[in-house]
Amino acid sequence: VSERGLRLASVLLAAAGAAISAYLLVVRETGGTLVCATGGCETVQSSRYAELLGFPVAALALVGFAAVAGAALARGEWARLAHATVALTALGFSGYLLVVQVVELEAICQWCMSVDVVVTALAALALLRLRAGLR
Amino acid sequence: MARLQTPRWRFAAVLVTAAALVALLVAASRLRSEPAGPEPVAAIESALAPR
Repeated sequence: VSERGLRLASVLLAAAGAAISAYLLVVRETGGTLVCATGGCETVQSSRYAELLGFPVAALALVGFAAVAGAALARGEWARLAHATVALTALGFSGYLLVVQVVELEAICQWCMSVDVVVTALAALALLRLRAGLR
Repeated sequence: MARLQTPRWRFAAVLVTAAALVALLVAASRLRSEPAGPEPVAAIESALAPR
């Protein structure tokens, strides 16, 4: 796969992740009810872990996906490094939140799981791009 | 900076930076998530109360 292909796939995936995060943020801010097949979405979204330093985690995710998309669109060595750094940070933090869901909240949010899948794919793409640039 | 010119060090720098950022985010999340303890005045009164 060419670096151009990796960058394009990253932008598309980041857009998908941003769309999910925007949905979670809008429902949270408007007081609506999440569409949820797993049954644990409201438990997770109303938990204390849904906020970070007073900001909704969904808003933080939106900023993260925008940063990944920006780094993916940019060219050059620094863009590759920033792309991989932001994507790996997102992967680590989403892994922590997954453990929180399973171990502490004992509730699964399908939207959060979807974001986890997107973030994992984004990290893989960013690492492939980094490897291609390091050759 | 010269070391960052080599691929191995660049990769290591990415990993270390990402790990540090994750640690900061997790710490912020735990800080916000710790259940609140007793109010300071109530805790002092409780400690000083005759038994």
